[in-house]
Amino acid sequence: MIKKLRRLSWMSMDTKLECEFTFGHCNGTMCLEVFDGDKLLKKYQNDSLETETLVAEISLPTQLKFVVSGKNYNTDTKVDEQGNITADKCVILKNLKLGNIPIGVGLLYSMLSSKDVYFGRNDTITVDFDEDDFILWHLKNQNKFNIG
Amino acid sequence: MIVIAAVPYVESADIIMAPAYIKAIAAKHGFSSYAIDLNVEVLTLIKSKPNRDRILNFFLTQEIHEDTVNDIRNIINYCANRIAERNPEIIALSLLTFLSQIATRWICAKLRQLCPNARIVIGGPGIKNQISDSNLGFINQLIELKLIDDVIHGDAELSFPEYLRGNYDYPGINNYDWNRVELNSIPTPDYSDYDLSLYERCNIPIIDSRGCVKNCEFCDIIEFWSKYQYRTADVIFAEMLEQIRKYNIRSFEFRSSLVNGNMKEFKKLLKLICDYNEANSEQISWGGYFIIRAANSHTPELMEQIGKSNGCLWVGVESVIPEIRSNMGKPYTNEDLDYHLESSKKYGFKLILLLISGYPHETLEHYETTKQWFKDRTQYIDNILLVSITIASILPGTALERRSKDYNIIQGPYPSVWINQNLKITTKQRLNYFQELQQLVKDLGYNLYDDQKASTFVMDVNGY
Repeated sequence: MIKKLRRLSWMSMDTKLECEFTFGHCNGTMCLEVFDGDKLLKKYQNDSLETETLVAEISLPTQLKFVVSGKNYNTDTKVDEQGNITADKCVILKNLKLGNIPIGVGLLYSMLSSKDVYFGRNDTITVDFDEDDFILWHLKNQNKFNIG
Repeated sequence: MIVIAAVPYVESADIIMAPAYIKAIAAKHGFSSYAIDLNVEVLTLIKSKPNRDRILNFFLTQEIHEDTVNDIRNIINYCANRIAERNPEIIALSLLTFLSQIATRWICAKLRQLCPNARIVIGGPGIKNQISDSNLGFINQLIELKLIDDVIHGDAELSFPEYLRGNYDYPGINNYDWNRVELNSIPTPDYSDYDLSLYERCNIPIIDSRGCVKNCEFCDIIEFWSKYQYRTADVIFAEMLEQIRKYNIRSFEFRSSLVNGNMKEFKKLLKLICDYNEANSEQISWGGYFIIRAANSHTPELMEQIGKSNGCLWVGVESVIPEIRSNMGKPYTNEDLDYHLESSKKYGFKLILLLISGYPHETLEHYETTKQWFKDRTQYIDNILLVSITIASILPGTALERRSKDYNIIQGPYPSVWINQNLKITTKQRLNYFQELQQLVKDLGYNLYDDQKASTFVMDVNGY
């Protein structure tokens, strides 16, 4: 009975992706485009953006791309007399979940091609989801639930 | 379709009753469902794998070894697929202990992918770390991550049918004020969806009572079921006959805190079983938790009937030190205990002895007395099927926890980590004693229930 029930239904199924972003303001906000491979999932271009959550279905394996643009490096960062940044046009990736499982902070930093969740330059940041099963991806990357 | 599943991991070859029982409850109210014991199926899948222990370690600690990644993935997907293949609209996951929490998280994540439109509800004692625990961290995490939709607290006999009717405000559904059912009206668990050949010990579980007639200070069951409830002997025996007819299995296991809470009904049940055994060549046998009483309550006639009914008594000895027992709320004497040991030999029934090692008031001298007690009772080894020793824990919500301050106990981060400042025996010393006692019991020839997991949860003992 046990063997008969083994199936491979985890192949070729879409996986839920959830990203939470915070937009930093300075002369407006950056433009953010999120791609599943070459497919545009969402484009954010609006000066009233604050915290946004993107929920999408993606097909694994894939490369997730965050394309950030629209920053003028001469004018879009404000610094006080002591050199502290007081305002910056940026995007911060606050949370990333794959298949409802949060990707731990340490792993998140190491996975991003920028090695940082603070996107403060016009850039394309990528994440490789290189398994066809999100469970396998989490396990292979030692990503676990917080069990407190 | 409604699918009800027991989630791994439970280190037991026994039948998990909950899905079959909930299935019967649903059927009583006109709902058809499918019941799965995923625990036994997973244990069967990994039975002969050389990395079995490392795979299981994942379900205990979430530790992932390189050689277990694919196996764990297969298990998670297997469990989710077993449920998803029924195209469920409602998925009810039953957690027998907190050891099912890790598997539940992962399986729910996969279920959300496979069955995005299904409503997922969890229930059972394992939704909290301890039955009377007020920490709802696990439940809150699952809800926050949208891995589940609902939680059923407490017994589900009344709330689950209401849940199926969509009455999500009913007591016990996403709130704690659950209603208790009249036990004599509960349905007979329906194991028709189970593959009973998978179980090493195929004893049919039976609910005979809930709660307890005792008030032991360490026990969290009495905090959960504050009132003792029992089923009558006639009702229990009718269920036994029904299950024999359906499954042709005559060994039963009572799933309760004690079988002999109501002596009148217990004696009546023994008589019914003895009469059956006398009239039939294939006999009934049973096992259940049992409290020791003095010989004037547990007469030689009763002991004889336990033997003739093929009973196996799970005896909560707890401690062999009379004053320790008396303080915890078990005031029987060592003579009473010896009388039961002697009776098991005389009337041919088996005992399973359950002991707590290093109870808060036990001194180093008591440790030695306990060792000597085992040395002095080797003549009963053949009748003692198993000795199970657990490390003394102070469980949340118990009288022992409430009295800890009075006892001058400082508690650590885990229930088994604490120190009685009057005695100054550290957790490390108690752990050493626990291991010594286990070794001694084994060396003396007793069959020890070797619970490797017992020490897994004693982690940071520094300072206690």
